[in-house]
Amino acid sequence: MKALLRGTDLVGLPVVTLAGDDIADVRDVLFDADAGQVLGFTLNKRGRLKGRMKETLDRQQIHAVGPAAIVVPPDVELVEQARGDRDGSGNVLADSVMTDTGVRVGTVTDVVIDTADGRVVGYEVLPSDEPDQRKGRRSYLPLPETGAVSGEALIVPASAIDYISTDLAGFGEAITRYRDMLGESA
Amino acid sequence: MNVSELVGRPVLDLSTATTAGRIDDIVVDAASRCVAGFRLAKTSGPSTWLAWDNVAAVGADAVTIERPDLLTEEPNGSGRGVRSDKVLGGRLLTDEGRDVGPLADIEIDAESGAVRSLIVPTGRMAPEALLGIGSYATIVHDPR
Repeated sequence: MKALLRGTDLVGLPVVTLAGDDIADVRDVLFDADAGQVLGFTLNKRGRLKGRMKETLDRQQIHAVGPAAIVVPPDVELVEQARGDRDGSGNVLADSVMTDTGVRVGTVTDVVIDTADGRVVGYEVLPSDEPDQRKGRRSYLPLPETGAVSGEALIVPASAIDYISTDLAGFGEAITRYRDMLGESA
Repeated sequence: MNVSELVGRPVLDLSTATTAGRIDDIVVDAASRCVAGFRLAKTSGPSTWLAWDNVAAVGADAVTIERPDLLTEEPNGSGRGVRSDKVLGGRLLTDEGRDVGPLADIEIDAESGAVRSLIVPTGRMAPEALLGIGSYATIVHDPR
């Protein structure tokens, strides 16, 4: 079973060692839009003296990403990153999603991450035909394994539209079906 | 026996047949999966630590020691108290980052002090599942 989480679900999660100690909170998700891959996390200090930490957590240092915590080894060493080095480089939020046939699907409101390998497997989108943009129902759009092209807009294959899912629970299966279909037609 | 049953139990000094203190807290060492010792209250002297190795017996009504000088100072880094550090009733996370808690109780062997099982909402977990007892949570192997 695929364990899927939205990027914003991860923000605020505690970073906990296998010894049971909390060392930080997730401030933001660093991700590479071109590779469709989570690179790591920027961190906030825990507790009352909240604030940005200079150190970041690299994907390779993570033991597991779960719905209640990011688990790391007890001897994890957080490495200081040059400020702004990678931060924001992968921001696709609020980008338009267009199909390769020129149809606007909507705007990206979140990324959907497979927690097993940190890959971005889909986008949460607000459909452009939604009458009420603020309360609009979110949909989930699967991505092909090779990733989508990101520039002025995110370009996805038109075939992805048929596999849009309206809830995250059924989305894992939609991705599998979509990728199976791509594999057969290739 | 569950560790929560030990809270408040008197510690009886067999050499003088007097109560040396009461168990205030139990410290479990996650690495060895054993009770490390007891923190005591109401002791006559400043020593409030009873290491498991210094216990003569754990009985139904009292824990016994052979001499009063077996109470010592608590060593640094002995571990977390199941009561004061809210290990019991506290967060229980798997190494996959799932919350499966709270941890209800820890069952121990009264002879050896070894953890026999962790009592969780879904039943019991084997002692091998225990990975760490920390300031934020107790960590166990994900059963899935």
